[in-house]
Order: sequence, then structure tokens, then C-alpha cells
Amino acid sequence: MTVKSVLNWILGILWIPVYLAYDLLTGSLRVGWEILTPGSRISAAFVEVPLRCRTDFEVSTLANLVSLTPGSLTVAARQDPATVWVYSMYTHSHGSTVRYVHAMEDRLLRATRPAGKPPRAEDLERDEGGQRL
Amino acid sequence: MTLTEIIGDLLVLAGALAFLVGAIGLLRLPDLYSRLNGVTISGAFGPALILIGLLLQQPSLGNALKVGLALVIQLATSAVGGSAMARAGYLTGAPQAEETRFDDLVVELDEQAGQEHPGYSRPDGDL
Repeated sequence: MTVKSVLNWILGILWIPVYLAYDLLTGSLRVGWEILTPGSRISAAFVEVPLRCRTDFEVSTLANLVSLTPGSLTVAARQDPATVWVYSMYTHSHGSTVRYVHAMEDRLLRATRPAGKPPRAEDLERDEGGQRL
Repeated sequence: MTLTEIIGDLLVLAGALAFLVGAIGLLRLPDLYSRLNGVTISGAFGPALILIGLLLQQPSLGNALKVGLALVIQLATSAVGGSAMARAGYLTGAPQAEETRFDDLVVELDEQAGQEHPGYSRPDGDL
């Protein structure tokens, strides 16, 4: 563990509240706009997201961070292999929701692992209907 | 009134409006899951605005600690409550809006036919 990775780890911990405030603000404005304007732009989906989180703390913190953001909600979680099922109100495609959760996971793992976060898995592509290829 | 007090008042007012938007969302959104997202606005965004507004009206180190603690507890509990309600709703078969495009939980259920629903699975004891 180098000085650089420790600094990166501390910065990661400090960044989490900043990201959270940003997500909370943008998500609330988006869902609030949906509520207050006529018509419906909802295209919802339940998306299975495989995770790199390993410990109970990481999985439950990620599930809570996802639920905390208006527009996405954790419906179910499993620890081994670590997976969350996320309800997303605005789903462009299966992959966009998976990438959204993985971006949140990146920030979390940066804060929980002093050794640095592992790379994202690549083989997660699905077709239009969300079925495995 | 100083500038920080005015900003604090505006934040408290915005927080109250956020509660109103969440309440309207309960009536207007189509199904349980999107309504829970609407409630998140009143459960997380509204209290955050009000607490920060109060801190700006009476700024002190003690109040900052209290507001920080209240924020952490409020955000953590509202997220856990939202997840628990969504899970309970799914397991009891709450109807989904027409806008729902696909449902991976159902895919998972078909694949492990006869086995438990993934929402129930607790491989290492407790999750």
C-alpha cells in the first residue's frame, strides 16, 4: 500500500457525501418534475445487477445508496454471489441501469477498500427485453 | 435579517415544498414502486433541505453536529424502510404499472424453477 493509494482511499471516503448530495438533488428534481408535469415519461424495469461488493457492509451500503436516490430502488439483495435487483424508474436499456449502479459501486469501493477498487465485469450485455444473450 | 437567515428560510420553504411534491406523487404515480420513489423525495430530500436551512438560521458547532447526526440517521432509516417496503410489495405480488419494461426477478424465478425466490435467499445465514 503506497501513500498515493491511502490518499485516494481517504478522498474516496470524503467524496461519498458529495456524490450522495448530487444524486439526491438531481434525482429529486427529476422525479419531482415527473410528478408535477402532465404525462408520463416513466419506463420502469427491474434490473439484476451483479456486484463486486463482497462483505455484508458493502452490499447493504450499496443497496441503501441506491434506494436513497429518487428514481431507483433496491427490491432484493443476495450476498453470494453478490447481486442486487434494482427497480429503476427511467430505464433506457438494461446496460444503462447496470452502469448507473456500477458507477455508484465504484465510489463505494473506493471508500471501503484501501487497496483500490477492482475493475468492472465486462460480460453483462443483455438484449432489448433484458434477456441474457 | 442577515443573508444566511434568508437563505435558511428559503431552504426550509423548499423542504416543505419537497414534502408537498412527495405527497402529490403518492396520488399521481402509477404503482407501488414508483410511489416509493416519490416518497423518497419527502423522506430524504425534504428533511435534508429543512435541516440545512435550520442550521443556517442558527449556525454553531453544536447545531452542526446535531444536524449532521439527524441527517445521517434520517437518510439511513428512510432508505432501509423504502427497500423493506419494496421487497414486501414484490413478494406479495403488488401490481406493476404498464410502463414496466422487463423484470429480472421473474427471469431469475423461472430459471431456478422450484427453488426459492431470490428475495428470500440467505446463503450465509443472515444478509
